[in-house]
Amino acid sequence: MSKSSTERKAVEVSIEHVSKSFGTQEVIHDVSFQVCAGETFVIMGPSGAGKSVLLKSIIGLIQPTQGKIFIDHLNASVPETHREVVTSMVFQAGALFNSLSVFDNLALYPREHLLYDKDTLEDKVMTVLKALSLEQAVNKFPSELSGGMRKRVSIARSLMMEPQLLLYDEPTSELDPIMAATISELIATLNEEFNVTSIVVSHDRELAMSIGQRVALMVDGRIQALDIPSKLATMDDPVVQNFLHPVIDVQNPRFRKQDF
Amino acid sequence: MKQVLYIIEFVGNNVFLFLRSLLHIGTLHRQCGRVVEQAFFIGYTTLPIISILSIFIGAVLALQSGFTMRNTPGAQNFLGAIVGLSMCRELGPVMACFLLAGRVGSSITAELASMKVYNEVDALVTMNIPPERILVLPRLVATALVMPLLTIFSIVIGWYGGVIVVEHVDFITIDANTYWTNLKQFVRYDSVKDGLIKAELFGILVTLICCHEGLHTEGGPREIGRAVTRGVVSSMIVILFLDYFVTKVLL
Repeated sequence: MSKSSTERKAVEVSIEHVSKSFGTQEVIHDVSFQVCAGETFVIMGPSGAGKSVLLKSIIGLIQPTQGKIFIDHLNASVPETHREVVTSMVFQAGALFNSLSVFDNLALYPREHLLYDKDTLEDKVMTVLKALSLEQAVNKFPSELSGGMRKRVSIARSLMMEPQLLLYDEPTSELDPIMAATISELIATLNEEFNVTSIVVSHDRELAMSIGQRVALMVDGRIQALDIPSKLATMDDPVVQNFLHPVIDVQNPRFRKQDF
Repeated sequence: MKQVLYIIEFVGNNVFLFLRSLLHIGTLHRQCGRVVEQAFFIGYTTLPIISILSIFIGAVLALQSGFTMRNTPGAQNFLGAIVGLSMCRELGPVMACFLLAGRVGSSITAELASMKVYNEVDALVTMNIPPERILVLPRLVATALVMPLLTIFSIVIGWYGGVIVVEHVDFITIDANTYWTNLKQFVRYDSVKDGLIKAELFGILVTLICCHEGLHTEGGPREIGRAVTRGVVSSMIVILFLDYFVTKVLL
């Protein structure tokens, strides 16, 4: 049985020598790290580094080829773990149910798990929507929302689960800088207010360095560096520096016309 | 060998999907809204096209048979039996299921494949809501409820298609009364029951196969189209294949 919301606490996550291959292509290679309970941990890296695959492995959507992932000392590959520990994920594109209104998107989890009566459910949904400044969107459908609103509704839907572990897959992708900053602030605030462990996957350097209590840089399926943001920023590793401070040299571009 | 393995995998996956859906039958009382919504969708979208198809099938059946029998004295008296039995034992249920596959099955596969491709199914899994419970079971139950009605409707419309031809085509010498009397004489309760069993079985299979194809879609938007084609074609092949054996058992 899952614990009631009052008994729930943030959980720690332990990733031990995890590798994942699709056919002959290895996308994650021997990745190990721990995320403390209540921590905001950011995994950043370039596109195709294996960040999202790692995130899906943590929540049990993908099984690692090798290694183990433990959530609160329970094996994350076992479905029962995700019934014992409430884990939720904010998907890159939101993954809102297009046939349901914003209200019904948020109410789906509590309804299916028979958590509240009708009035309490309405109150809960409206409270979460207000917290995220979405009360105007309650009767709208996902197709009627902007990209930023969809992201916030997706976060709101996760919050309705009162998760102990919240995973974010590229929460600021496809958003303008102002909305990206809003979402970043939201993630940091929620972590404090809801006492949840957050793992954020992003290639947004500003988001990573501003909200991450620790940040891992993942490159080609490996953890290249892992530290607190201030130390990561001053690392000598050229791969880290190249990712954090990419040089845009229009005089000597990486690709020249004759390369095509 | 590869094709044999594919067929075994296809059958196995569908059986498991069916069993996994049945595991959630206890939650059905909480899903009445979804069942009604799906039943309305299946009935509403299939009824007009079933009406058109059935009336013309009944009419063409009477026309072809009447023309063939025109030189055999008394043979046209059996037009009621021919149209009546053909419609209720074979054409009504099979055509209804073919239309279900083309009209509703394609829509089911497209919707579920789209949900799969855009991570909505993954979102359900992360919410500890089995997709079989809210995406497959209501559709299977709705199909089971609607198929007998659609089939009876198809059969009756087909019979009326036959009587229109009997009354208005010159070379058919019998009248409507003779047609109906002959039809009532030969069409028994068992004939209709056999047709309904076929419709129920094939209808559930169509829905199951289309749900399975949708939920097993991997890749991008292009795969949604491929999944729809696979769902409809697989459903039709399964209907034709099983129709022979089910008919043999029911005879």
